[in-house]
Amino acid sequence: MPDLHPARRPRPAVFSLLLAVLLGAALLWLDLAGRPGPLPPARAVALPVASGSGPVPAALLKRSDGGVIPMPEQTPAAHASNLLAMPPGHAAVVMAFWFAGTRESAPDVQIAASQFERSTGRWTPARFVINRHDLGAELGFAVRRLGNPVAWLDAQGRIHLFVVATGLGGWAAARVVHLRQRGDSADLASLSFEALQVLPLGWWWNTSFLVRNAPQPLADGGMVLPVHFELGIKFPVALRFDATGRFLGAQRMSARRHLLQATLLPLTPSHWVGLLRDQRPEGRVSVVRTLDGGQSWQDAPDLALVNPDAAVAGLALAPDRLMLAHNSSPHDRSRLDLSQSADGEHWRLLHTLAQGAPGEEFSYPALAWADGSLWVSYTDRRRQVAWQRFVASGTAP
Amino acid sequence: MDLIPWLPQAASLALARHGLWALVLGGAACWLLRGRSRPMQLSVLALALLCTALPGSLSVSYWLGLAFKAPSLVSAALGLVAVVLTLWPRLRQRLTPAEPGGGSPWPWLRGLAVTLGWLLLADMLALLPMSLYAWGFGTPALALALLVLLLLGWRWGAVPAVQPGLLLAGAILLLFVLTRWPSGNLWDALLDPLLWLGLQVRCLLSFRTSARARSVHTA
Repeated sequence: MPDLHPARRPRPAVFSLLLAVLLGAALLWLDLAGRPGPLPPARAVALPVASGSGPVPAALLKRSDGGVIPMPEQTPAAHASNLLAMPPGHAAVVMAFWFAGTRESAPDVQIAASQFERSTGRWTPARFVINRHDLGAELGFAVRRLGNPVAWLDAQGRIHLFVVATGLGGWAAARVVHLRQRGDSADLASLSFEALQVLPLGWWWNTSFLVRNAPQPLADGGMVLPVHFELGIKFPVALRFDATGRFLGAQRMSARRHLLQATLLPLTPSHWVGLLRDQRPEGRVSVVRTLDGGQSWQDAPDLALVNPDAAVAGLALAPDRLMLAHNSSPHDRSRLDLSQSADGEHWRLLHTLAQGAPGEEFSYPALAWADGSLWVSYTDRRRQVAWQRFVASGTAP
Repeated sequence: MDLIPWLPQAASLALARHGLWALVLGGAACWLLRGRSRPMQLSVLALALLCTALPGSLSVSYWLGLAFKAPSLVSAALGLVAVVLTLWPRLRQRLTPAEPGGGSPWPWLRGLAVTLGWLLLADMLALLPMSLYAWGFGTPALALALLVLLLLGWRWGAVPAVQPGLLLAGAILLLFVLTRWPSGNLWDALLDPLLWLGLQVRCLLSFRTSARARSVHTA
């Protein structure tokens, strides 16, 4: 067989390059093949708060009960409670999660929980459900401190918890850990959680992200969870999850750098308002808006409500029945109020939840709607978690 | 939110974390002890690997993860190269260019990585108009990385000393696609902050060496 002239022999480099291109294309196909389909638009779902022939007018909400949620034994400090409304028929009406220990950021801080039982009309004795040692063992790396639990029920009725877990460096090294209950029973006595993941939110060792406020449920069974970045500057971020708790992505909510701890209030399925804590001195409750279900956010003018660098909590009983728990004392957190609005811009005072002496703290409120009642919890002077229940006037609790 | 993250399986990640840190620490030990006696190199290497392989809180990786979570796949690959070259020193000759001055893609990659790190840092501080970190979850970021690799291969693929490095880079991308280690985000797989800081030191030292060489030449 005659040999080809050297000039006519195929150049190996061309073949290698073609092969590399094909392999690259195969890699891209592999990456695409493993992904879910296009993300459907996020549509907020309204709470089922209708009573009788229509939504409960907020002005008719009257305080029916309240007190202090039991604390784990020999635990002097508590903070950052979060409420979870349980499904109808469950033994509990609502669950509360908070962090407790010797003090905030103490090494003995754990996540505590209690349930308000339908049968007894009382809170169960509290127990710890998450500690940093067990969490570290599951994650495979150490956790320095715990805080700020936020609970959510997925489409299968399983409880998910999002918890702040810090690395080396305090809250500036915070990460958000996603846990889910083991098994199907939400009975407090047997409740335990498994760590699913540390949410990948940033490149710098994935630090400085925290969670605080309750998620906004979506029509597809998923939810949007507000978190915030906190390292010098502060800005809010909205995380989306599907009905099983799969993380679907993040979207920054504001171009400003002094806002944190957003609470979400849907005015329509795709038009939401986010109210935020303002870190500035002489701050106001700040506002962000989305018109496309969280795909993009815009800053809006601040509310007239003062905000002494304190957490707020909102809940939409109906698109025109928005509730907000917030500190209205200008320089401290000694007064905690419950206000109502029809449009998210203009608010009027409904009830004063707590009023203390200057310097006393009633803060970090949480709201939930369950069993025809509005439930409120908040930190009571960093020693315990107080709660109150509001029912429609004329309605038995 | 169009770039849906594809995250690693939690069980595989727990295992991977030990392995990734083992390679990084082993490689660091080999690099620090280069020029030392072989028995010392092998002893320290074995010690580093042992410390990482211990279970739970006895493992060094458990405590490294507290601060640094997990290293990038590139850091682990560099560690692997250092370990391999320590165990088989003759391989080093094959990675040395036959003709000095023939060039290599590594300075370009270093510059690209340093630039990417600064952009990611700016992104973290909300200085960019878009979320660069979120892009790392999507297929377009992978396509960009493949394009860079192809261009480097086109330019330097015929250089025998460079070919193993290019193949290793391709293997890193393949490993990421298959496992999504360490976080499901391509930027985390390619560059971690410790590596970024080290690359900047390397770039500064190279720049200083070049500047001195030029000043000697002009003198």
